[in-house]
Amino acid sequence: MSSNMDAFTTNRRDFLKLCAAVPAILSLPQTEDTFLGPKAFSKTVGEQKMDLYKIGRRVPSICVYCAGGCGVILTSVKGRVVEAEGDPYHPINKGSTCSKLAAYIQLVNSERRLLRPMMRTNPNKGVDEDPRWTYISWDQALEMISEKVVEAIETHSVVHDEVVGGNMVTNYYRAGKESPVMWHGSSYWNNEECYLGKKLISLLGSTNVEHQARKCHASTVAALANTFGFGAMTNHVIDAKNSKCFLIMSNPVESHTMEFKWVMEAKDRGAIIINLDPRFNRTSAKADIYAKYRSGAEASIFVGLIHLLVHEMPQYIDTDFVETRTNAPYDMNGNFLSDWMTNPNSVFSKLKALVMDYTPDEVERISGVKAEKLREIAQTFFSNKPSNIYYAMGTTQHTNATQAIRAQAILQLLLGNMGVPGGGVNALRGISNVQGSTDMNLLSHLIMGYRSPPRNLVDVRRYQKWKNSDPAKRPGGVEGGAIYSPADKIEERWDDRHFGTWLNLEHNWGMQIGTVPGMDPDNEPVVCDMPVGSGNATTQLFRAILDGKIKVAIIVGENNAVSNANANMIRQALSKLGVFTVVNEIFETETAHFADIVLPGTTRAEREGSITNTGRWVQWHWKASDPPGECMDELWFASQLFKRIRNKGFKMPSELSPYEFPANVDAVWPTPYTAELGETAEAVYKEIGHPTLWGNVLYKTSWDGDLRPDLGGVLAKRRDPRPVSDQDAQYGFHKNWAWSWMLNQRVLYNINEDPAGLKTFFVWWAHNQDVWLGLDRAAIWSRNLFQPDAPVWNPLHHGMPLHNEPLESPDEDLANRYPSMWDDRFPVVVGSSNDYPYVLTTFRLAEHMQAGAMTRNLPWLVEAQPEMFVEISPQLAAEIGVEIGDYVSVRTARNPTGIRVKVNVTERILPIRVNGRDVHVVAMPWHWGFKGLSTGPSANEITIDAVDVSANIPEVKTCLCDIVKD
Amino acid sequence: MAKAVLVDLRRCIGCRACQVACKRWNDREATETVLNSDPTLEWTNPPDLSPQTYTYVKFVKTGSGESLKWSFAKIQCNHCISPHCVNACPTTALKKTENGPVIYRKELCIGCGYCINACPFGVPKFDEENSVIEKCTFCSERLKEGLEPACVQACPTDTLVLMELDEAQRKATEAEARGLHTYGLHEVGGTSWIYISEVPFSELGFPRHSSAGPANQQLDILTKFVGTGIFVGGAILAITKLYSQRREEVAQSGGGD
Repeated sequence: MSSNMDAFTTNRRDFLKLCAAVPAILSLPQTEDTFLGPKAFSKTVGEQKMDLYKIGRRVPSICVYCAGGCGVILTSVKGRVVEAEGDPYHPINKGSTCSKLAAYIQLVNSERRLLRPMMRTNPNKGVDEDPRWTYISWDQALEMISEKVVEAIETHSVVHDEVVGGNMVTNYYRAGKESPVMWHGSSYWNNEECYLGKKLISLLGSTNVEHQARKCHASTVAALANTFGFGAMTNHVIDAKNSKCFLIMSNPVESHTMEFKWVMEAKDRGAIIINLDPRFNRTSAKADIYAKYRSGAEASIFVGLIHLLVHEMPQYIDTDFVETRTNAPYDMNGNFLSDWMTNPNSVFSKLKALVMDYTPDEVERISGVKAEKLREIAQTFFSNKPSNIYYAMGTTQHTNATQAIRAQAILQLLLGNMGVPGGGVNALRGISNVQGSTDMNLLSHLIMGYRSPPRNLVDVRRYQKWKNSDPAKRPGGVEGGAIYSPADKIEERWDDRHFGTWLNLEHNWGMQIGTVPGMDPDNEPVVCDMPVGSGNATTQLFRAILDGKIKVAIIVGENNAVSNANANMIRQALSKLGVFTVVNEIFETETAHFADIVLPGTTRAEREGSITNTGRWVQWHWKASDPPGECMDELWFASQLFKRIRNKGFKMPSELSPYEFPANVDAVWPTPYTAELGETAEAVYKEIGHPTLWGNVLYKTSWDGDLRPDLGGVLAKRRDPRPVSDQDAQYGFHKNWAWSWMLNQRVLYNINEDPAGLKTFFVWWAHNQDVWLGLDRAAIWSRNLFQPDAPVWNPLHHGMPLHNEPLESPDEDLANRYPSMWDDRFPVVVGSSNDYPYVLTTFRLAEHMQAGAMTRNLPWLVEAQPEMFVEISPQLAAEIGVEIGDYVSVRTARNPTGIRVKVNVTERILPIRVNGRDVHVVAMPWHWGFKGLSTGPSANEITIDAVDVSANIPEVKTCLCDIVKD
Repeated sequence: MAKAVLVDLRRCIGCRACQVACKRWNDREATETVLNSDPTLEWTNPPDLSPQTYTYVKFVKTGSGESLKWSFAKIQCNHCISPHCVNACPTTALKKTENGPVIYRKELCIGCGYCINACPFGVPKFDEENSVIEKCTFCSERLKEGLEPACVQACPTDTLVLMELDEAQRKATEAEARGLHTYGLHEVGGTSWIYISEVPFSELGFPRHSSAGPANQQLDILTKFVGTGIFVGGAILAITKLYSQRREEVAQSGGGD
């Protein structure tokens, strides 16, 4: 492979050398008359830059940082990126950027990048252990990795005997959770790479696959999918301009800057901005109404708003919408009640009764938001429709997050703010392709398009029956948008939802799923190449490493040593001997520090593919420059890895069985379209989005060879921002710009969208075991989140949200009245409020990205936000005797020694009155770690890894701490 | 017609895209910084202009409790209509262009520092290594090509908008009429970067200046000519001294050869 090490330097001398590429006619300085006579002045830096800019080649890309999906124009001269600016033609950012994208060339051209594969020679791993890297070749690296993978998989059993129908049969499959091979990452990989990564790890028989999404919006998916049908942001980035009022629970100015461009646009039209946050941040600075609240009280605020709506301000309920598009008018047995508003048996009445006690006074007691302020917020939000809720980690990273988000969703349904431009429950996804990576389901419990893998052999047997049946006679018909008949059974509904995907994956992945020979599924042996059963979620996955269950860990584009809650446990896991760890990265990160082999990856500028932003827009990014040094792109890496693993003799369960099958894994690796399109991103894109043979149901028809043969059928490449209809022009759909799922729908559930994609609510639910109740009704009462035997303080008992305290609550009384609903199957170290009296939360800065792996290596961003700090109120500072610039030790039960941090005393953070007494809130950014240009302690060294029962997301945002002067 | 930038601080979200875009376009280096320990200016970084920092965003907290406000103000050369720096510069290194930008030619800069003294806003900064001044150029090379300055293009919220000078002045005047504060409309005879704010500029730490300021202008000229005069005068004296010294030496050594 090529090595252009020489071409890759970043100093001024080489910049000037590039200037030599500028043709003489352009580079002639202009003369000017001065008092010394005519003079030709040498060019200023800006003028030299302009010369290069004029001759450079321009390539459009999409930003790598947040999931705003901003367009970038990269200008390169002689294969080197010399300028990266916002794309003036892109409808979302129109040439503008945030500070991170403004610094993009420092990322692409960084001298600190990894350029060659490395292997550790120090057998001991640890924070303070120097890996003593030695350079190796890609060939050596891939050989070693594939050897270790094959060796580990040898211990993963394939042959399982089972007694079925009185006989012993031998089944062939791998149980996903038992796989000793783990894959973690990455939301920074594009859709094609994520798809191939998931395909790879699935072919290897493992469901021990996770990535960033588990830690950030897993609760969003659980909440919104069970309320609306899809677990994604319901509207899209530009749609904000259509809102009349915003209730912002997150910090978009800093975490999703370009979203705020569109909030300002709405504000120009008179919109009102409401912001709630434990601390006054840059978003609060722009809010019309700001209220501080205690981190961990989100559910109480939204249940309180529902209370105000249904008990004090019912005039704002959109009764038409509620009656026609939600299950509120039904009783628990599935009967429609025409007098639902008053009938005590309706879901609506049950909701009213449930939220009865969440009066503004009670919400004040729990959250610190004053009762009159909550009423002001309610009145403003209810009376200025369409009104819009933005939220992110502040709501999602809690043990009760699924319920808190459900409360937001229910509020919007009651107000009729769903399926309309300017409304919505707008989950702001964090990383540039986290929506895509989640859609490709690099997760332990899902496959392609939020479908379930086979949970057990019974599922596989039923699947074989389904395959045997006449497609025309299958209940429900076509996946995604058809009419279902009311009498279908739950089981059959499940089957239709998932089996369509299994069938297509058999084709696309060369897998065999079913029984052999197939005519008697109940009694025949099962041969299943798709791993059976869910795997471990991220929090449990690293514990599985500690327990010796994982032998090979492949971590790509993710920095768990900084970004996982209770990061010290992650570092312990990564230090464990006998675990072969491979890290694919662009800088030597904190996680890479523990690896056995580090592979040099590429930046988005150096390859092409599609990524999906938070608004579900699937956009293509083009390649602007060649990877430097020996960096190889991620698609190539995934493809090569599987080939090497096959060469070393790895076999699928079907191949290890005594039966013959037509399926051929090698023929469709990396895709069935290799002969036609080569090993390219376009080939994988086609596999993903083909109209009938789609690999991912959400993306079907994103590839359309008939519609756009000029683009090779890749609709993500469309760059026409012009509106296609009056509606498009009014609301800013931009229907011909890229492609949006599903079926190019821009505002989900908008039955009036023109032209429409998939526009209906798509909740698969029923009131009891036998009856399924139709399409296009959102679930205010969720059957899927209903467990009547759960205790009465638990929302699952009711199927509707309540407030629950975080696992570490600052107030014992509240903790008793609103017990925490955490998943206690996975124990954590818990501290009491006596030892740890302050509430700790974490936040983000506009200038840094997540675990700082990229931004803390970029000088212009480090200059703006140079160091780790903790924010405390002047009152707390006085109590512990510190001033700005002093150092403190912040400690929690997970880490009683604590971390040493510089303190920023500011009145932007104040004590919050909880249950009649002042509670101090302490907040710190979590971007720092021990590697990079700017280093510092990681906030996650002290956070808590208790998880939510429905989504397995860690409670990163709230725990208890103590602070002392250092 | 001369260009101007209207800076509507009500829209600024303090994202610093402008600050970084300028660094990028002008190939500036990052400076070493620490968390800003001034409680009113917390998070402001870098804390001031410098040869490597042509623009930065100042973060200013005002008020407290319910009236707490956090304002963000971009600071850069204001490209005055009648620049004091151009008046003070003895070598015409600094020049006011027709298009609006106040540019500077490093070859002519002798590092005398007169512009640093003369600037009412403390903008030009001295580059010790190269003995020249550095400051924002209003991206004059970009303006010539019909592009916006790098900072203006980067701004996500239209805080910075490029327009004709008279239009910017008109909009600022309208804003004043509506009770908003402005800066750069009257100060020092008017500048090309005109600010609008809800918060008074004195609270944001912007220096108070009268319009035109003839005293200052005369001071510039005084500085320039007196300074130059002293230099030239001193040179004449030195040469005269050397000459008469030489004459003496020659006379003492017994005349010419």
